[in-house]
Amino acid sequence: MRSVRSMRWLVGTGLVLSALAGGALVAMHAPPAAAESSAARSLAARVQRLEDEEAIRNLLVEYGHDLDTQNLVGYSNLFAKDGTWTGGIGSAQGPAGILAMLQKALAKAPPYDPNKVRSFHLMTNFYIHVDGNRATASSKWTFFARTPDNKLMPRLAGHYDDVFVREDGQWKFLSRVAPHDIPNPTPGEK
Amino acid sequence: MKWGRAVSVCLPGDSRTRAVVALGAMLGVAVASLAGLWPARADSLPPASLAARVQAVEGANQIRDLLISYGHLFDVRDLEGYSQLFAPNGTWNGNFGGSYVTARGPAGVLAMMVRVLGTPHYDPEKVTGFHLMTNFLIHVQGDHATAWSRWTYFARGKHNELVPSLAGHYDDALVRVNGQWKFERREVFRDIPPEK
Repeated sequence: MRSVRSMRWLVGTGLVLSALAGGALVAMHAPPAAAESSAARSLAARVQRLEDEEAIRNLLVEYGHDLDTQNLVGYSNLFAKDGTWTGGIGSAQGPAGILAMLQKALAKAPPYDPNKVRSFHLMTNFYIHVDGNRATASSKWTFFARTPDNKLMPRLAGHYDDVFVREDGQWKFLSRVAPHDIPNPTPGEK
Repeated sequence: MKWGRAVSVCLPGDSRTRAVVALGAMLGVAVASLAGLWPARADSLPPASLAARVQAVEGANQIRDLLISYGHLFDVRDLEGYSQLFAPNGTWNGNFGGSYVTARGPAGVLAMMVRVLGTPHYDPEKVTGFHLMTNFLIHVQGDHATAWSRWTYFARGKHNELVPSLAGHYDDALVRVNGQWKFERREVFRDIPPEK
């Protein structure tokens, strides 16, 4: 009987000690560790957002670069699998559909020659908002062309309304709407 | 039972007691771990990695400033400041003053500018032209980076009108020197009108 009581006492003492030890560990480490983890997670999320904005800024410029140098495959691959483009030359969906649309639209255009650049897009006024794996942006485009007498001439201006999605770790256009602003696109209006 | 032996150094009692206490202590740690409190440091990102990512984002911002400073310092004819944007061995490559030029280092870049422009005076009341710097495409890798961007030069015409005059682009390699991003190589292209 005595040895059973002694055993119970020992087990009881052991459990109390272990609970105190566990409690002490939690008290010593948990609050700062939890706070640090939360702060680190929050900091990582803020860094991620800055990286995402930077990646989207590059995407907005790459679009213009690929368009101006007639890298149509590169251009179409900036779109998500179901990404859509809507603008002056119509609308299309997915990289293959967008590539076909552009090839058709530019069928009669001479190939890009870096020594005889005919036009380019200025991409400006980026306003980007990231929300997790989605983002939206608005920006302006101004199209300049070379006149027959070799002068630089602003020809068209408009803006973009975009939705982006992170697809396989890469930001892509989920939808891009590219309205013309000046000259006014409505027939008959000036 | 290494744990038991370790505990026996600190705790009184027979071996069974020590075993129970050791088991209890281990259970205590396990409970703390299961509560998600103990491994909190392990599941957060390594600080070095986060610091490197912040540095890359800061780098892209500083490089954007560099690309804009280049245009600003040229436009206000601060040729000394302009030349200091280049690394000690940084090069400027392009057509300037009627021929293709490669200028090396701040002193070489300054000499090239003075040779073509003299020592011009900038008058903010009589601005003759300016560069729009746009379309920045920047990729940072550690202490090196590449950039592509467009320049569009607007001038004041004969009748005081604003005239888009020239346009081109830059291809750049950049390097961080003593914590500052500098041009390691800048290639200047004029697109419209094309170079003759």
